[in-house]
Amino acid sequence: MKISKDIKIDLFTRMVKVRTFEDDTNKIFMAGKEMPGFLHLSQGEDAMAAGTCANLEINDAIYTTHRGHGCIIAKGADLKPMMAELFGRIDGCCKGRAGSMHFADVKTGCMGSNGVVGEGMRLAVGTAFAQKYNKTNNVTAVFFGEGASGTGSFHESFNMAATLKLPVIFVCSINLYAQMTHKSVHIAIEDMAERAAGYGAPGVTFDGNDVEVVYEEVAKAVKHCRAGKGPYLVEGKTYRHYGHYIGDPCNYRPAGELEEWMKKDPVVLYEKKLLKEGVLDAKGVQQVKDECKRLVDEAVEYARKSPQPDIEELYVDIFA
Amino acid sequence: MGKPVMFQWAINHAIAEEMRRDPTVFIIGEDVGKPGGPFGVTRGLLDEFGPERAVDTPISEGTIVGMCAGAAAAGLRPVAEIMFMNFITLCVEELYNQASKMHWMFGAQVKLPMVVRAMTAGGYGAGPHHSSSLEGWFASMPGLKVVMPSTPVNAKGLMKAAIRDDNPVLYIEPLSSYKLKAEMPEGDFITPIGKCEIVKEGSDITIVTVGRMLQESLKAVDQLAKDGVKPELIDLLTVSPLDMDTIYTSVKKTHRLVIIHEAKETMGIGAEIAALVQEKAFDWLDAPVARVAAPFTHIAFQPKLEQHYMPDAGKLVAKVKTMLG
Amino acid sequence: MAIEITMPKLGLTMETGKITEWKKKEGDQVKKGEILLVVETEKITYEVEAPGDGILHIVVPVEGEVPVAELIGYLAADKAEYDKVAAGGAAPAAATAPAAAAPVAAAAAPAKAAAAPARAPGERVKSSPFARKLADEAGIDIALVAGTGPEGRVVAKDVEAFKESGPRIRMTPVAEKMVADLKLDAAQITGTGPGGKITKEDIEQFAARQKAPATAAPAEKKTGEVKMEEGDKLVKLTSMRKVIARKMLESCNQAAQAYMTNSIDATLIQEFREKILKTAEKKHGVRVTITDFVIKITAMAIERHPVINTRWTADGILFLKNINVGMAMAIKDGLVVPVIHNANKKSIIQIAKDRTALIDKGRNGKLGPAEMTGGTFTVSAMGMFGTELFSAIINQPENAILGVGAIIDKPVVVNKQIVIKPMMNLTLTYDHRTIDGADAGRFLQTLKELHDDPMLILAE
Repeated sequence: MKISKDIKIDLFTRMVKVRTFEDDTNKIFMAGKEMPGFLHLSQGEDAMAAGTCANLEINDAIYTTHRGHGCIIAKGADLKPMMAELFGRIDGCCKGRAGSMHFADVKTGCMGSNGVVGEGMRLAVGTAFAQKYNKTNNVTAVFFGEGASGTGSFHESFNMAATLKLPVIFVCSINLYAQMTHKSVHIAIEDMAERAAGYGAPGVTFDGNDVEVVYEEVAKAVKHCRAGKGPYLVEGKTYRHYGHYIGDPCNYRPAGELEEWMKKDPVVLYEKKLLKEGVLDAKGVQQVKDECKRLVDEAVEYARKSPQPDIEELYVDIFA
Repeated sequence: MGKPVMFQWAINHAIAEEMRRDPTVFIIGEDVGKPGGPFGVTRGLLDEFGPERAVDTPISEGTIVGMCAGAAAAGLRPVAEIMFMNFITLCVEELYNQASKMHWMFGAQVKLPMVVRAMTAGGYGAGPHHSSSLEGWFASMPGLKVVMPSTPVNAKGLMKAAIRDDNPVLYIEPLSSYKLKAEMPEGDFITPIGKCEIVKEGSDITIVTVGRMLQESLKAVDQLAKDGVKPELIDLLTVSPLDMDTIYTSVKKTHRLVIIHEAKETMGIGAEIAALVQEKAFDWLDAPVARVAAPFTHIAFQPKLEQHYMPDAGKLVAKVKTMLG
Repeated sequence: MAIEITMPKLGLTMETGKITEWKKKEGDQVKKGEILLVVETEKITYEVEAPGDGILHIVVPVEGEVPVAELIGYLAADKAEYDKVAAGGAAPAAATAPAAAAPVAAAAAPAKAAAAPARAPGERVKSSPFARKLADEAGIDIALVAGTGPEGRVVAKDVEAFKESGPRIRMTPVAEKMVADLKLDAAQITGTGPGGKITKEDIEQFAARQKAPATAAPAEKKTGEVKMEEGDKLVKLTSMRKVIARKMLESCNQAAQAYMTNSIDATLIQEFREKILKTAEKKHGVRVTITDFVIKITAMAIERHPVINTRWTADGILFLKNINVGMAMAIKDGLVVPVIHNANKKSIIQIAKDRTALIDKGRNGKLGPAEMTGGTFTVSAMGMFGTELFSAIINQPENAILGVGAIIDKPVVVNKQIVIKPMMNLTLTYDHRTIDGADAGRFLQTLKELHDDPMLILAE
């Protein structure tokens, strides 16, 4: 598949935006003053987010995990309400009620992150059902990891999507760890894609840190789903640079593993590739980075200015 | 008024009428489409509306309800069936962590207009995994409405109201009420969610009933009339949100309250009503608030044991008499 | 089961009542709440409502002087029952069901109500919240009500029964024993203990009076002994008159009455009244009078001089917490003293409302026990007759009473000049056993201060 220059720059921009947001959020959180709750950061999985979402239109839906900032940003959500939500302020995309693990930005198709591992898949099947019902030609992508693949939710949802032929793309990021235990505790197989055939659907495995590969493979999946052929499983091998949560000492990782994976940092690698191919020059790269930084800074400004929600917020919207 | 309609067909008609009225309404569940439902409640819907709107699924209660949430968030109005209420345990995650919270949690970005039907089969010797009435668990979930129809008329009215409601509604139907018959009002009507019905006015004691206990309560009222006792009988209809004002007004008149429900007494909805009444209407109580409900043990399949377990007219009459001194 | 109708107790000190009229005839079908009969008592004329539905059988006809709690009629549930009670067979009372053995008071006037519960002093009374509410509203001490509910709980019907059939006479335990030992009729003894209970002292005094020549109880001349001349007229004594006579004489004999007067410049309270008159009428629908101001100021002054709000008892001087001001009021045959409870806590407008309501009821004979009991101080206003100064008799068992004279323009000296001021005399009659001259003087001084500067009510 030939990827145009514009798309390449777009892929790169998405990744840089994700990376900048996550890095800055990390710093603010660690300062300990402005962000309440838990954060689960996704640096290292930027290619999976960018490569997948670049294939999706605004009306396509995604369901994200507790580690979902990257996917939501890559899908095109406005950073300002996202940051305000992390700060727990009233101008957050969820009015400060949900926070990092339960982010939703419905107008850009981000139908919700989930604090319960694997639950997004059931919801995704429902949204895909609605898309098919309404004949909108849209698809739903749901992100998950090897940990979630053990839940009843995964099996029921994949089976349901296959039997009802629903347009769901199951996007699996194998990042080697589910919370603190290695992949081998969670699955007895090597590649998640092996399972797809067992349910009657296609599945593919690839390098999740090569954004162009991700982009190409997901494109096939999207095409399959839009054609009404049912679900599709894509599996990218990747790695998260930080712990499960901010503050996780990562004692479960063997020495040297992180360093090995840092050499395959998707953002760094792609920058090199684009420079080498002449898609962008150094100035162009810097422009992308500066623009992303500006957007993130603007988001932080916005969040800081936004007030705390009133206590009344607890008592409104219980019912529609 | 037309000819009498059975409770289970009243539900069927309600769903069918709403599916005709609104193209976003669909039914989903196990055996609901082609077989027309394990008890026939959804018969005819596949023929009239086609397989896209009458969807048969694999056995995946959790995913059925999770799908309802995802589909409702995307603009549809699903009506799911959970065959026996005991199986709702598989859906508690989707009902509680997802459906009841999504509207509030996402700052009102989505609405979840979904109905989950669950059938209780107490009284049939169906045993510990098929006979429970679990409304108490769900009544403690903000964001989720719980209704319990008791007559064919309110079965139809409540189902229509539930489908039209923009919130998740758990609709609990008793198998033993399926064959009750009643004449239906003509035309389109709903039974409002969140309002009790005063079935019989009275003065000596207030009886609050819910679900299929209405039939037992009516028998009890007849028996008590022979002794000159005139209870005021209130049918909750909606378990959550509770219409407490009607109950307070009644207790201020009768000064005594007994609540009858099929579910266990311990931590049941009767406990909540009793707590609220003694808090808000304390000075009007001439006797402690009582409950007639199932004991804190398991439902047996064995008939004699099951009969002891289930509340009934006799137990209610005995309790009322004790309370009247 | 037939409902018993008994002579109600319509006041703390009521011992007997006179049936002046049965509003329903023998054999009439009566509905609950309809007026059954009219009773005349020491203080009021009272319409008694039917406690339930039934056929009326009259036991005591008109003109009888009946002790409190005595049976006067029945309401039978049906014809069969009616025949039975009319024939003299008393159907078991629906209202009585004594749970405990009756304490020693058998010699007392026959009390048909449920015998008082045998509760140990300080024992917790089990009662339903609704029963307590009814008891509070009716001014009944729930400790005196027998409970027929589970575990001896007092329930609503017990309180209703208590109200209908009248309570037994309240006595301290010592008094109860004395009454039994001396074989006295407790109905004849005035109680001056807390809540109107008969105390040991009351019995001693009563017994003394029985023995002593009639200084306390004037011998009643029988008719026929009275020498009448042409044109003379003998008016029979009404119950109320008899009781007023007895109580006034008793008061004079019991209390060490002393008098003290102060002249008040009523200018400022008149102005104050002018100021709020319109608002009171328009917004609150009530016409405020000077009396309302006097009552309020008096109540405020009493707050500052607690010794005024007391009772003399052999055990000690009882300081009463609530300031309930009775308002002496002339009615057709005599006088009544309805009470404004917690006058110190009420606004002038609220007092005006209460006063208006009480006067209304008094004129229509509708004053009930709640309005007639609980007074701790009395105000008697005689201004309407132009009376300059008068000294009232203390309304037992209180310790003081304030006589309020008319407001009359008088020349007074202010800053060495003679000016005309609207002056009003306040005369305090006080029981010197409890209240000394200095106390009285200080109280009157406060009254004067507050009248001189009514804004102090707000400010202090």
